[in-house]
Amino acid sequence: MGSLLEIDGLEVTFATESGVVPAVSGVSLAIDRGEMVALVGESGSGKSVTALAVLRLLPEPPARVAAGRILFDGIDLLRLDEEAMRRLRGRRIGMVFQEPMTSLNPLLSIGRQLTEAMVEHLGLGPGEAARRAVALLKAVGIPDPKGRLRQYPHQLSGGMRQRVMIAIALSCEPDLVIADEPTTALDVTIQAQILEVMQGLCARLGVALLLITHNLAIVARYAHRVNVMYAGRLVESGEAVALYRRPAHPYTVGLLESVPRLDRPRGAPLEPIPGNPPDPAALPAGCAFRPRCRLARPHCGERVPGPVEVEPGHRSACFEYRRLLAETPA
Amino acid sequence: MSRYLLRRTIGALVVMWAVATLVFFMLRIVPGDPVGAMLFDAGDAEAVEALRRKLGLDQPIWVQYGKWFWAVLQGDLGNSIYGSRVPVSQLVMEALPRTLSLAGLAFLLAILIAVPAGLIAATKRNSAADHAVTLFAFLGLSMPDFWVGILLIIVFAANLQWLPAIGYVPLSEGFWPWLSHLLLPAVAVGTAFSAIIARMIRSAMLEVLRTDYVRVARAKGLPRAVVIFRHAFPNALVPVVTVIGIAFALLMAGAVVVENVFAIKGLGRVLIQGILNRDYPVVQGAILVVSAIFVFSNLLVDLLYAVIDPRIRYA
Repeated sequence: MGSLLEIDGLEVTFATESGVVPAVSGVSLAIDRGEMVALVGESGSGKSVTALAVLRLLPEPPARVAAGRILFDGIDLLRLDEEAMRRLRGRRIGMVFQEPMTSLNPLLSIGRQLTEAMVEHLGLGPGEAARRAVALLKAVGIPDPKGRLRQYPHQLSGGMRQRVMIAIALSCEPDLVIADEPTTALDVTIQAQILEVMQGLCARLGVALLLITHNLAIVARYAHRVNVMYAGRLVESGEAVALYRRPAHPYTVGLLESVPRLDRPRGAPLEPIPGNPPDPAALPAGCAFRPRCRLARPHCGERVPGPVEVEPGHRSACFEYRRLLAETPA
Repeated sequence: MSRYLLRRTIGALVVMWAVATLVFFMLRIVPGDPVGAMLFDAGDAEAVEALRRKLGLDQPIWVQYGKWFWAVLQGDLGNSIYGSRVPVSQLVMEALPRTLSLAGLAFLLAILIAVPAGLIAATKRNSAADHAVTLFAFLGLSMPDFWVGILLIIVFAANLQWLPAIGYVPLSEGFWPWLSHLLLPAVAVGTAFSAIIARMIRSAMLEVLRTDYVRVARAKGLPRAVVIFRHAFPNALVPVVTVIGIAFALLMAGAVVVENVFAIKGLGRVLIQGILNRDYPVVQGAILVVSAIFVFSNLLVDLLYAVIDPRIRYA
């Protein structure tokens, strides 16, 4: 059996005033049924673009999928006609967006927004849809679910709204949920709750989850596998545990070291990655991470490193990964 | 909700009082008075004085204001100071249905054109249809309504002879006669209004179509029509409805001017006649009624606003 979602060599470009700019270059990743996969990277690294490309929700133009294939349960999404794609959205792939404050329609009641996908895709009557909506709200941990159905978004806090968004994404019992920075806009205390709810529900319902985040620390707890993106390319991918124990790309190391950790001595300095992510319109030659990389050698600027299997199931797109692995013996 | 309603109603009444008061005093600041208009430069001081006394103009202005205001509170707009001294309310009641018919039809036509035009322009951005709407809006805004009226008369009444050029037939004498007389003036009055609303809807829709919740609606797999009409359009209406209320004033002003082009004896005719004659009670009464219509339509818009937007409903 193939993977539930298989992205193969995806290339997305954006037409801008300064010419056609690559946003995603040759990204390949796979998600199995019921699996939790993380896509990690800084803002602008192309992770959201990748997610939107799967749902075919990129604004085209200026965006354009220039190459690659996206297979969902064997269906070639990029060749699907718009009507078939629409029937798949929400029904088989749910999506949770970053901004709970603006993701709900201010003029429609929570009940309406929660039930409309079920009415559309599952053909439920209003009574049945409302009953399921109450169950969903209860499942995502919203108190007084019945009363909430009649409320409007402005009457709910950010955390509550994101719970509603999760309920919406799960309402048609999809095979896959894509969560694009679902907790970034929330208070730290709420973030853990939301992730807990989302991960718990997906596991219970057997829904695969693609979790997009810039925070490598939260990924460790939830994801089976991790994909790290930098400047539109995958730089490292592998099982979460292996990737944390022996990161094989200097960018991943940088991400891990820029987060405070309790297993380090107090007062030990954080080591942020020097410099800034490159402008996609003016990527450096060769490896895009080279200008910020402490391991960089002259040959890094000659061509773009391709992914190399550094250990079974663990890939890195770095010419110098051996030096990195030597620092952290297995 | 009821507090919102109460607040708005009180506000509306205050505005009407302010307008009435302003008009009362402005009329008296403007050079010339009814006596001058009636007697020309006869120069007979005694006759002037007698007429002033008869019309109550010899009293201090505050007394005049008090008397007039007290009468208005009781629903008495006074009488025309000319000829048979027709009650102002009678003059207004005769003219009002004509002006309201004209403004109402203009409003209806404008909305019927503007809403689809704006929606098409926004959803098919940069298409030929979008450019056509932009061009139409540009032309509509650039042409004065009375001039559009004259053009319409030349083309549709004089040359093609499809529709009558002038006059008004009450609805009681049949729908088509009523409509045929009003169609050209209504188009003349409504063109600019329609252009404004179409542009507003276009830009509001473009903004709303970029919002997160519209993307969420699409991510839910809702049909395009549902995304546009359930999720996007009502949100685009919130700013548009506000402008409709304000633009209705423009429509009334347009009707007053265009009435004269089409020789419709509406409120505009009454008002202009009153101003030329310095017929204080007529001008005051007519403007009071116009401002009441304006204030009332804005009140209606505020209520509509609350119907559309729960954030206002529950505030």
